[in-house]
Amino acid sequence: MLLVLWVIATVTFILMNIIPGGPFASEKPLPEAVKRNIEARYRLNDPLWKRYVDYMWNLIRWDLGPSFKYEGRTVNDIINSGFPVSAILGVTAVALALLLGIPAGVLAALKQNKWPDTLAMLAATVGVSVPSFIMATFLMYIFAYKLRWFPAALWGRPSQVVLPALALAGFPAAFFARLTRASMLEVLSEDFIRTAHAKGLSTTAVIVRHALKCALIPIFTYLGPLLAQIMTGSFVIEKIFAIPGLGQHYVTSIYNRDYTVILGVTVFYSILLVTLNFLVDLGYILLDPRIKLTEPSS
Amino acid sequence: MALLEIRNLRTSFFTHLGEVKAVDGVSFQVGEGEAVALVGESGCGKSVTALSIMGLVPPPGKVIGGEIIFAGEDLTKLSGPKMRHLRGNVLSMISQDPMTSLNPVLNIETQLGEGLRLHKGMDAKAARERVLELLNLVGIPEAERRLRQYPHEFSGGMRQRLMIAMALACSPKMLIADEPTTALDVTIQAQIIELLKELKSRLSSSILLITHDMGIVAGLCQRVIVMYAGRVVETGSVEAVFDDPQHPYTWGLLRSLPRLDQRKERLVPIPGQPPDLLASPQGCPFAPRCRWAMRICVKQMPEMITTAKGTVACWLQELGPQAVKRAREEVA
Ligand SMILES: Nc1ncnc2c1ncn2[C@@H]1O[C@H](COP(=O)(O)OP(=O)(O)O)[C@@H](O)[C@H]1O
Ligand SMILES: [Mg+2]
Repeated sequence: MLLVLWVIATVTFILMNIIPGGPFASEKPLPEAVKRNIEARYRLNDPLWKRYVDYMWNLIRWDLGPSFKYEGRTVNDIINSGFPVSAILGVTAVALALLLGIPAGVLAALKQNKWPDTLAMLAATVGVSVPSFIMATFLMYIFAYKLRWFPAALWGRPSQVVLPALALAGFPAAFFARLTRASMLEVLSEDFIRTAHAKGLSTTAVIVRHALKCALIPIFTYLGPLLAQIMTGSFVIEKIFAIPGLGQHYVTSIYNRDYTVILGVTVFYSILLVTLNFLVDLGYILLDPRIKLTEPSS
Repeated sequence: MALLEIRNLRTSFFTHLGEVKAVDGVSFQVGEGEAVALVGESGCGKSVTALSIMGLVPPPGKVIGGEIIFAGEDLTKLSGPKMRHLRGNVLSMISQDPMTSLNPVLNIETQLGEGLRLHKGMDAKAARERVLELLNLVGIPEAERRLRQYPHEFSGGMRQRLMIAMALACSPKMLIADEPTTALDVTIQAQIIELLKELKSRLSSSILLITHDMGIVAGLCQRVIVMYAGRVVETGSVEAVFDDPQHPYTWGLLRSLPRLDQRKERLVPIPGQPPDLLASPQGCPFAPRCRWAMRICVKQMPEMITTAKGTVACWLQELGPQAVKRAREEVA
């Protein structure tokens, strides 16, 4: 796990230094003295290897350095302020997606080729193909502008989470619905489902106790990467709803060639991803008794 | 009165190719405490018959006619909840493949105890006691430890023992075992047969045993029902059917099937293919494969007639017992 993180940090560092241009490159050349001052401050004229070693050392202490662009703010500050916002939004969106997608998928599988199935799959197709920013605009128009149920933008109150979370949930909800339907159909045709019926269990008991647990295993796999991705923020959604999340900062930092922010957020994202995947693997063992953690053989 | 009486049962699958008449007018009885074997080639409708009794015919299949009288009630007319109350309680089934018939993500205690809690209203502790008892009954050692284990931690033979334990949990009046040994290794098969024999002598349940193995039939059952292409062609006591079979299909079947308890010189397959169940023939469905087929055989379906030792549906009977005997000796 640590090895993976080290590789990611190094690759990002190398890429950053290969790409021509820097944060202080602009149309108008800077006066020589100013340029030298800046370079000294951010230690840009140290040899590459030294910058790498410093960078790694700081990384270990979780000091991601100052932002090149925002005077006086460190990368840690940016993550500390942006991540909770993106995380709340992301977790809400994933929860919504699960809450909408799984029941829709189960229903579709049970009513295969009947109208609930057709309806759910139609909605899922829309959900998968409509980009989140269009969804966001729609939601904003209907619920904020027309119905005035929820505020249109900004951040801070719980009601302000609803619309962006819904917009973000669209794709994963649709994806979950299709995945649940497919795996549910597969599980329902298994012999052990017949065994369960043969015991005299009610249809509900068969589905809830016997089918659902197996059918949800594939969904679980997808949950780790999805959570990591969605928790680090969506640039588009954060932009549309004027939410001060991590996604906005990340994309802005790329425009600005704000090396330390790019590096810091990338590494942070990797840590999150690796951790969540690890948790998913652990959860797997609880969910599926057939899987055992095997000692990695050297 | 018999515990189970099936009258003219018809079950069809409505596929896009047309109606597949998987069970086409089957009638038979199973008495209280009796063990009856249901034999016949693959695809002749044995499993569908069993599923019809259980009320578990999968779509696009449907019971479209006949009666299934079990303990005085017609199961084909029973409501969903009433049928569920019988299933796994007084009427239970062991299916063919123990590898896929247990839920891989639930432990043994849960799966075996489930029926007990549902039908017998047992609490967790009582169910656990009973499950332990059942595991001992079917010969699973270290029952205590194995309660918490999952199906993948058991071998095929052990899983079939679990399936048997599960089916017997509520002491059913009737047990339907659909090829309980087919999916197992030969040595394991013998062990499961031994277990079934032992259970048979200890329990009072009636058994409907679907099998390919004439050895089990001889060792376990009192009567035999021979099916061909969705119909019953012959029934009789085990001795009658083995020693004096009446239907040409039964002759072929006895020569084509292995018996674990006897070494046969060679197995002779029945030439030809079972008929297409989509098109129902006018005459006897076995006629195209029958060496003794007469003109009437392809024209008209023979009625089920009662002989000295059982029943049979075959036009050869019209020629008298001597002719039937001569025809049979021609094959042997
Ligand atoms: N799900 C199904 N869909 C269509 N036809 C089926 C289905 N299940 C069984 N059948 C038909 O029913 C016939 C009898 O099947 P089955 O009872 O399983 O045979 P067996 O005697 O080997 O147990 C088969 O030949 C097949 O054509
Ligand atoms: Mg079968």
